[in-house]
Amino acid sequence: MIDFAARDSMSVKERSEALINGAPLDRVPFDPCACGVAARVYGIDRGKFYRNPEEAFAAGIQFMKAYPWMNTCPAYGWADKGAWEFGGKIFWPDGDRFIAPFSEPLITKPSDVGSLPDPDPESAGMIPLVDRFNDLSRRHGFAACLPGGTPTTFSAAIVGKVNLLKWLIRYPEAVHRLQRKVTDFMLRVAEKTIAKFGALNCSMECATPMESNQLISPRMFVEFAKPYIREILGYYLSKGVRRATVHLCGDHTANLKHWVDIPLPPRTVFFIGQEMDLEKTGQLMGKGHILAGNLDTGTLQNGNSRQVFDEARRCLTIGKRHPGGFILMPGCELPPGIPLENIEAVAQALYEHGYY
Amino acid sequence: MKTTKRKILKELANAVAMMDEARSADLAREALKAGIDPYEVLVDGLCKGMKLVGQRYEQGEYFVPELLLCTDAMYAGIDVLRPHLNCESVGTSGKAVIGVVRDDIHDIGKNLVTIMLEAFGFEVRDLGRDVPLRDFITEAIKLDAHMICMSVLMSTAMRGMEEIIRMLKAEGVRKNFKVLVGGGPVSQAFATRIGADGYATNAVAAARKATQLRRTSR
Repeated sequence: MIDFAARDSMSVKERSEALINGAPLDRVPFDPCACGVAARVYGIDRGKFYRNPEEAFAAGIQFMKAYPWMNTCPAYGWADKGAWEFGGKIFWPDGDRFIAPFSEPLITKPSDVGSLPDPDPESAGMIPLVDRFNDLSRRHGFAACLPGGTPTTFSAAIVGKVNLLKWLIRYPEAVHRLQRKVTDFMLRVAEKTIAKFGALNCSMECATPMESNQLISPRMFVEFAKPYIREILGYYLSKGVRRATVHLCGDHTANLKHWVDIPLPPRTVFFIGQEMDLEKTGQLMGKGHILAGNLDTGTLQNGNSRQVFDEARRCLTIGKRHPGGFILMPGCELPPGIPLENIEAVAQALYEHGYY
Repeated sequence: MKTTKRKILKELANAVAMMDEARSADLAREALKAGIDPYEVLVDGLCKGMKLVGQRYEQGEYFVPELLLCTDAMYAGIDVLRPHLNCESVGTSGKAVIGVVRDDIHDIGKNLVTIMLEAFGFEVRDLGRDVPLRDFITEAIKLDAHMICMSVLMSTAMRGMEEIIRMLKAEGVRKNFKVLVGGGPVSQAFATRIGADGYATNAVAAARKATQLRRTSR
């Protein structure tokens, strides 16, 4: 076990605050983005974790205690959102599955978009679970989460990813109707959450898997996704939300220039996938935003300690040069099955190469 | 006749590449009416169109939505040909089973590889997503497949790929199948380490790799 305390001159909280304020740091923070691993360390399967926000919160607290050198806090949520909220079925990863909750498409015809309900922002799908988690977070001094993901993520879950991708060309009007419906729902949830917890106590993470250029062109991003992302993030900003993370999940290189006029608070964290070039992305983001991510999750899961160390060192070497600040993170969620010695290899690299 | 045939097949390939389902079906009918061998219509019209689509995808001109719609156009033509194709005489480039390994539900990449394998002439049994490890082997044996193709997006599911190769070895059937792996977190280094025969970065490259591997399979 590495003794960070012997070398750190800031607490986790001080380091986080300094990063947000653009002040000098003692070292690069490491945010593991860990839900599945937190469940594993806590000794429950992911079904129990995701069904029970209280268990998830307790798992997050224990994970923080187990890894005090990380800049982490309890986290809760999953990517496949939308279908459950609009009346579909959710499948839980019971039985020690290494998987997050997932759903099946709710409708498959463009003509059915009009028949979708307007879900209740208090009781639909995962909303009550997130609300319980947010209550716990606020009670412990952490931020409450605003609806994460993008409307496109929700829409893809509602009609199925393949259908949505085809509709972008075949039925563009249906896609816009669907995006409108989903955006309105997300705004209703955001309004309720902000009213309950206060904008300054809320944070938002905007994860964008469906907008990746591995799936769609930058032109499609601009036409079908960006207007709705702009609307939601603009709403958050207008309400006074100051903490934001944009997770560019996958390769968004060709979309990057289109993020310039999306309203974001200063010092937004751009948490990027391993598919993107850390240096070039940092240059495009500029010093006004914080760069994060890029640790290859395949190496974290399947590499040996030496390979993980080298990968973390690569990210640290490049990331430390970003004038807006850098957070070492995996390219996506920390793989739930990661060998624990590989977490130690990240720590070793951070200890040797993470200090400013 | 030769000019007509060339013209129809070229237009058919273009209809596929332009995502035009109705035109693809019409041209397939026209080709049959003109007395062109259905197998030629399939290979030199529809599949050729999909290869063109593959090139546009690799060049960044097409993205996944276009690829999916071109596939629909190809199948619209195949549906017209189907009653006229003598399956025995058609022959295949080889047989493959494909699936997303257990603990992963992300199947867009796998679906694209399935499409491209079919366009390259493979008979493919698609096992779906979140596929139990044992099923890859059982189904490959049942189909008498030449190839086992595995896809993942979640890094945790990569362990399943390694485990399947271990199971193939333990059961003494490793040599019966070429193993092709791919997906977001997979790399050539990983493929080499687990003893896979091939790795590809995208669906078109996967179909090419499968064709290449087939030459040295049993």
